[in-house]
Parts: sequence; structure tokens; C-alpha cells
Amino acid sequence: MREHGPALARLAAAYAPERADRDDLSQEILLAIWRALPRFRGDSSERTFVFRVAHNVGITYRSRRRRHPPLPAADQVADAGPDPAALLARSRRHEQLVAAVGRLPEPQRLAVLLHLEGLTHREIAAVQGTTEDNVAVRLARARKALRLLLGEAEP
Amino acid sequence: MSEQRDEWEGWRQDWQQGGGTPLDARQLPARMRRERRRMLLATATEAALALAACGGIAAALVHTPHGFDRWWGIGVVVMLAGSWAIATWQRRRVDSLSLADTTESFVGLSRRRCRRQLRAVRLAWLLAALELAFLVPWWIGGFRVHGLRPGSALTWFAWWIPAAAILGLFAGTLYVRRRVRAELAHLDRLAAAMSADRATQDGL
Repeated sequence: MREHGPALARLAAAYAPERADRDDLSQEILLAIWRALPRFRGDSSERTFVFRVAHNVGITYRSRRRRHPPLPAADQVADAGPDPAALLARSRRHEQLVAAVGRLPEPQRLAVLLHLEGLTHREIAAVQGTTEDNVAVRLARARKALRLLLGEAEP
Repeated sequence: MSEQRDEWEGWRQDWQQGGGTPLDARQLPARMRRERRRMLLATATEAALALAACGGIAAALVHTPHGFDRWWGIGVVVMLAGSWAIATWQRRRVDSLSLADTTESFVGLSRRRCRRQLRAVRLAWLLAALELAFLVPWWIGGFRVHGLRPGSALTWFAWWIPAAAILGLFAGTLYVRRRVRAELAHLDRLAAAMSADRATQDGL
């Protein structure tokens, strides 16, 4: 959990816009991983297994919500050093990226969330249950869309 | 190619600046206890509804002289008990629904679960109608024949409790139906988007 904790927290934040919901979803993800662990047979990597469970919990969470508000702005930014301007710029870039990712079509968004956490195409395909080619196409389309969306967001 | 990699790398760095709320595994045992309590409460409520519905018919059956009515009542009790047992079994299966499956497979399983829940709601309404078809004539005739008072034990078992159970069942199933239909609509859209994504890729 120490290894995957920050990535899972970001994933929960991407699915649950509000702080209280986010904490709730984080706990739900932990609980689901804990419950699913006995079924881990080692036929995929541990990281793939953990992200599969976390994403499936996130999908269930989103499908059970009446409304789907836009994805959140980050309210926690890692320490960027003493320079407040750098901190602000970094925080803003993160906010814009989170908002842009939130506007992607769902299959692309799922692939992008995993790619941004450093998963390879093969691992993303294993999480989503699709081919590596399909992942590559989703990511290529997502990249084009993100460029446009982030271009619009530039002041 | 290198430009793409740099672009993704830049976004990855920006993305990972957001730490989110740190996960606290120490809260897990409390969460598990809460989940267990919620499950127990749901099972107890369902059992109470099923018992109240069956008990109402049983109380009326004791005083039902006609063979047809008696068999009708017994049939409804058997169906009620059967559907409660099936609902309990299904919930156990849903609990073990594999969260570790791939996204595609999980979405498919979740859509099947939603459809099953909607069928269960329709079955509950059918059973409530059958129960009412048995109880309403008894309420009309039985009260007159037995001269029941509003506060008597038989009135409680044959009227108040079943009526409250049917009302509760109706309200509960309406809520579940609305929630599950919204969930299914979202999952259908997601499944359609995933399959359209694959179809356009195949067409490339």
C-alpha cells in the first residue's frame, strides 16, 4: 500500500470530485483491494491487479452517482520548494490537466489515468481487458484531445 | 515519437503533483465493521418484510375456510419465501462479483447485475400484487365475519403489519429501481463507448 498509495489517492481524486466523497471512495478502494486479495493468483502483476480493482470501484462509484460534476481541482499540491510563483504555476498546470482529463470520453480517460501513473501499454491493456493496439489508439486520440483542451485552457 | 514521449512525461509530472488525500489504512477495520453492520441491517430489513408478508397471510389462512383461497395463500407464501431466499443468495453472489476482472468484463458483469436487480423488482411487485389479491378479499370478508377490532392481535397480523410491509416494499423497490436504472444507463453508455472505440480502431 505504501508503494501504490499516492497513485490510488490520485485515482480516487479523479473519480470523486468532492473531498468527503474522495475520502469515502479511497476507503472503499482499500476495502475492495483487501477483499479481492485472496483471489490474486499472480496471473497479472500486483500493480495491474491493484489498478483493476481500484478502477472498477471507481466505475461503480461514478455509475451510482446521480450527477457527474467535473473533475476536481487539486487541493493538495506536493511541496514545490520555497518559490510561491513556481508552486502556483505547478498547481495551475495540475488543475488544468485534471479538468482536461475529466472531459475526455470515458474509455480514453481510463487509459490516460493509468498512463499518467506510469503504466505501460501492456499493463493498461491488462487492466482494461483490451489489446495493446487499442490502448495505443485510445492514448493517441486522448493526446490530441488533451492538447486541444490544454491549449484552450492557456490564458 | 520523442515529442510525444516528452509531452506525456510533462503531463505525468504535472499529474503527479496532486497528492490527493493520503490513504489511511488504519481506518479500514472501522470501515469493515460499518459495512458489516449495513449488510446485517439490509438482511434484517428484508427478512422482516418477508416474515411480515408471510405472517400476514398465515394469520389470514388460519381463518380461511375455502380450499381455493387456502391454496392461493400457501402458494404466495411459498413464492415469497423462495424469492427472499433467491435475493439473499444473489446478494452473496454480487458481493463476490469479481472486482479484480478487467474493466470490460467488470462493466459487462455490472450491467448483468443491474438487469437482474430490475427483474427482482418486477418480481417483488408481482408478488405484492398476488399477496394483495389474497389479502384484500380477506380484509373485506374476514373483518366482517370475525368482527375484528383495530387493536386486536389478529388485526395486527392480518392487516397492519402486512399493509405496512407492502407499502415499505413498494417504496423501497421504487427507490431501488430508480437508482439501478440510472446506474445501468451509465454503464450502457460506457460499454457503448468502449465498443465504439474498438470498432473505429478496427476500421482504421
